[in-house]
Amino acid sequence: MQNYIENSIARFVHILRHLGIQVSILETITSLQALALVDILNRHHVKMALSATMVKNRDQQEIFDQAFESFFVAPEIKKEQEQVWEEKQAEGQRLLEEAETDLAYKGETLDLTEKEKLYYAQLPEEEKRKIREYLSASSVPDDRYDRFKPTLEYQVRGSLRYWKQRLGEAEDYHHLGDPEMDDPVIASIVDELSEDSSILYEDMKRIGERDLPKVTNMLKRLSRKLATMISRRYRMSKKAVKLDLRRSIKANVRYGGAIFKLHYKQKRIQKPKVLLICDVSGSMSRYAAFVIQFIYGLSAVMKNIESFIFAEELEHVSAFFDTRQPFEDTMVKLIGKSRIWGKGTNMGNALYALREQYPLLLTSNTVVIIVSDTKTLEIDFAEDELIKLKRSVKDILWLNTLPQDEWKNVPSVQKFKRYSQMYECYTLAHLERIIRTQFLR
Amino acid sequence: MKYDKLTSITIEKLHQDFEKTGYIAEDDIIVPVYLALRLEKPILITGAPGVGKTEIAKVLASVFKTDLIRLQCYEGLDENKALYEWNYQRQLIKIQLIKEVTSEEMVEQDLFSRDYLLERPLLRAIQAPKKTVLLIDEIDKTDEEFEAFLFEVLSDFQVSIPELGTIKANFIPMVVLTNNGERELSDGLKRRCVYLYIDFPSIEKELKIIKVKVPEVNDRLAEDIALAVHYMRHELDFKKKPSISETLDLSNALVLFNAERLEPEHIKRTINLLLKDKEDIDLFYKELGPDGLIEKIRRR
Repeated sequence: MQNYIENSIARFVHILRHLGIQVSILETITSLQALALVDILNRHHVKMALSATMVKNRDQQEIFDQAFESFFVAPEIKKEQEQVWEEKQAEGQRLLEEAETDLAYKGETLDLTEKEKLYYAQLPEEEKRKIREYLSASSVPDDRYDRFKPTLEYQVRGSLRYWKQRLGEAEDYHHLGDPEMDDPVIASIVDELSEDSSILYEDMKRIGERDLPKVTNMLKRLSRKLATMISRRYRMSKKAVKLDLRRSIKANVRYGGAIFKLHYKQKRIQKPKVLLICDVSGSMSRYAAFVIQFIYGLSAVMKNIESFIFAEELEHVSAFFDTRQPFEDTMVKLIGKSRIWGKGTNMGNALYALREQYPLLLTSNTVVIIVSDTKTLEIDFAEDELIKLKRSVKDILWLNTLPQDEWKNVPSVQKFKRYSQMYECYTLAHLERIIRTQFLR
Repeated sequence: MKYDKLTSITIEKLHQDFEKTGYIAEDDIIVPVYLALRLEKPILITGAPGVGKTEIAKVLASVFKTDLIRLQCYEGLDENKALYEWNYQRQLIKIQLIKEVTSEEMVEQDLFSRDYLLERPLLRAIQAPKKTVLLIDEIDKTDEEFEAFLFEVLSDFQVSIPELGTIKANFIPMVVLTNNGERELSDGLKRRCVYLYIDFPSIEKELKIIKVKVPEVNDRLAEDIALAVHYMRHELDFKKKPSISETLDLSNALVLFNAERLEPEHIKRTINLLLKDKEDIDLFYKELGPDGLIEKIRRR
């Protein structure tokens, strides 16, 4: 019995770890000690005991609850879970084999990753047919074309990437052959639940309408957390500051010069002013909707934030967020009144206009947050303006919606990175991490 | 009841004791508290303001008939305010008084004795002659350095004072940490605690709380209040949702008005007790209003 419990808890911890809840060995031991103190036959008490020793915040609580309900089930349900998982695995294997047969050059399978092959297998039949026809047309029985295979692989890969961008991610069979996932129960639960939490890691521009309410709640929580932190006025503690001799002597004259009461130098850190500039050009407008939702949340709780949007030109949009109106109304108004939404990008123009028209907003206490994929006309002009902006403000944080592995090939990223702290930011998880590490320190 | 060792407590007993003090709690709260006591670990309680986090520490002190030592956290709180400080002024006076008659060495020995030590809450809890309840309230308001320091104290329940040596706890206190979630706490601290999240209560639980805390309220009025507050919390997007303590304020106010049932007029007169933000009040009138709210709860 004892071993059975320990074994179950170890497997359950394994699931939690896969779902992003870090449970240490010490916590696992504590949870076993906790279980020894409650009635093991009382399901609710067991759940409370495990939750109290493994969960650390409210977000984790939700995941924990789902994992608990899925894992601690009757044997017949467990059997069903195993069956579903095995069927899914078999389906994945079938798709893989189908792709390998289709994606061949002169009878030899193309050298593509498993993920790419699975992506192909899930494409609409019409698109698959086009790729197949292209491959068969390229299969000329001529030795001269032996070297042609890598070129074909390159082209097929490009085509798959194109469809991925247009159609989004396909069903995930990524646990195929994963040795860590050899336990069908663990694998099926992780697979089922990670779909729920994946929205955090989804590229923001691909988040569907269905998930919007969830995203809205997440953004609201994030922006409130950030606003609380920014509005806190930090004062350094006594031990970290120096003795203020002048004030100490002055205050102690009445004691005949003996330094009786000590005064310390206190440094008040002023609240930073936040100036947000958000790119709403064609390529960015989907991200912009999320970022603006984020500003909306921030503006509701803090006052010293100025917001701008830009594409070819700059527009000051703080006024839209001043009145407390539902987010949807604010967005409709904003997009309706904006002359630039969805147009091309000229960041140089925008930064120039900011410097010329709003010089009073740019102080040594201003933190500028730029949200943009860096793609702009007149890169050199934008770079010059960025240098000038950098000189007049405290800091520039750049939230870049391009994936970091693409940065090295984009000259504008290389240039703008020199004058700002640039962070990869195309998922809510990125946004959350940046806020946590840059603001909630 | 006196527990020097907490091995004799049970979940059922704790349930009864909590209820005797007027704290209505279900297993969701009792089991983690019970585990924290039995495992001798601090309990970290999170939840919205006003759901009864701090109250748990007070109830524990009352149940175990012991002292409650409270450390209220704020920005800039440091060891001097939390652990100990030398009584500098007293030391100076002593120097002035005895500098003529005593040797330098004796003065120094004398000056760094316990007589000149100002004990702050953490040291008081560690030195207490019996098991106390140590409440560290709103831990998320402190700075990270303080959190790290606290983490050390809570790991070993001992502190080192250079001039006096190491002081070990006579009795490990029952530590209750509360957190409003203003910032993320460090993993280290969280790992050492038993975790408890307190959500807003269900209608049934709130009804029970109202009846226990404000017995003058009749059943129908209590039900109206519980339904109304529950509806407001879940259906309107307030910046600050009404807490349990605000429900109780409303109940007390309605008793003063001799109300038999909740009416729109009562809501108009008491809305400031439930909602403390002008924007929230505006939102209430815009989205629902007193008549709308009564209509909703009567329909149930």
